[in-house]
Amino acid sequence: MAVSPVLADSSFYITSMRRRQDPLKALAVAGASRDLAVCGVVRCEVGRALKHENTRRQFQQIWDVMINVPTDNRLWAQVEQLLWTLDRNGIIVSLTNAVIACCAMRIDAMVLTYDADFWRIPGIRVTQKLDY
Amino acid sequence: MTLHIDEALLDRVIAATGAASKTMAVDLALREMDRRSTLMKLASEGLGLRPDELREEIDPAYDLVEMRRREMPAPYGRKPRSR
Repeated sequence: MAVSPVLADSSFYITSMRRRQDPLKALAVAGASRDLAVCGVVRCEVGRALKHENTRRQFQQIWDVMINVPTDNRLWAQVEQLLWTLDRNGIIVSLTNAVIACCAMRIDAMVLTYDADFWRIPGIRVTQKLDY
Repeated sequence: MTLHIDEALLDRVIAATGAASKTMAVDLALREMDRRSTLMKLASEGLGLRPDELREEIDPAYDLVEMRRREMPAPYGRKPRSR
């Protein structure tokens, strides 16, 4: 049986670097047993935070060979449905988190994140740790 | 070029991927192996930055949590406070 991929959220990349840790080396640990995924929102949120073009290129290179979950019309419909449902249950999450959550659901991925809001979204698996 | 490939394995790959031909199935499998090995190579190498450089690479003014928080609307059904 295939093991679920890991979709690292922007907060994982950014928090790791602020803690002086290399997020790519940490992902290599998970990547030994699982595939790694990314989506457009994460690429944009992390990319815009980086100071230097060289580092951006390094991230782009590795993101290009991860599973890139497409944000197609079907995904946007899922995001809309998720937000509508959560809002009416008193669970308010940001649009970006909802998009990332739906991308993870699309490929049955586990979300690797330091953003506690993901734990409030039903239907996704969330972790802060990479000890597989 | 002559290749000796396990026919049962090739059939399983065709079934799993929906490849239209044996050639396409082999091409898909090789591309996937190449993708995975490149991914692991890049991840293992890391960014090549020292710990302080990793921290400094992120714009200190960039506050992801606050940006996401600002995206959130008021809870459904609650009207904004009038002035």
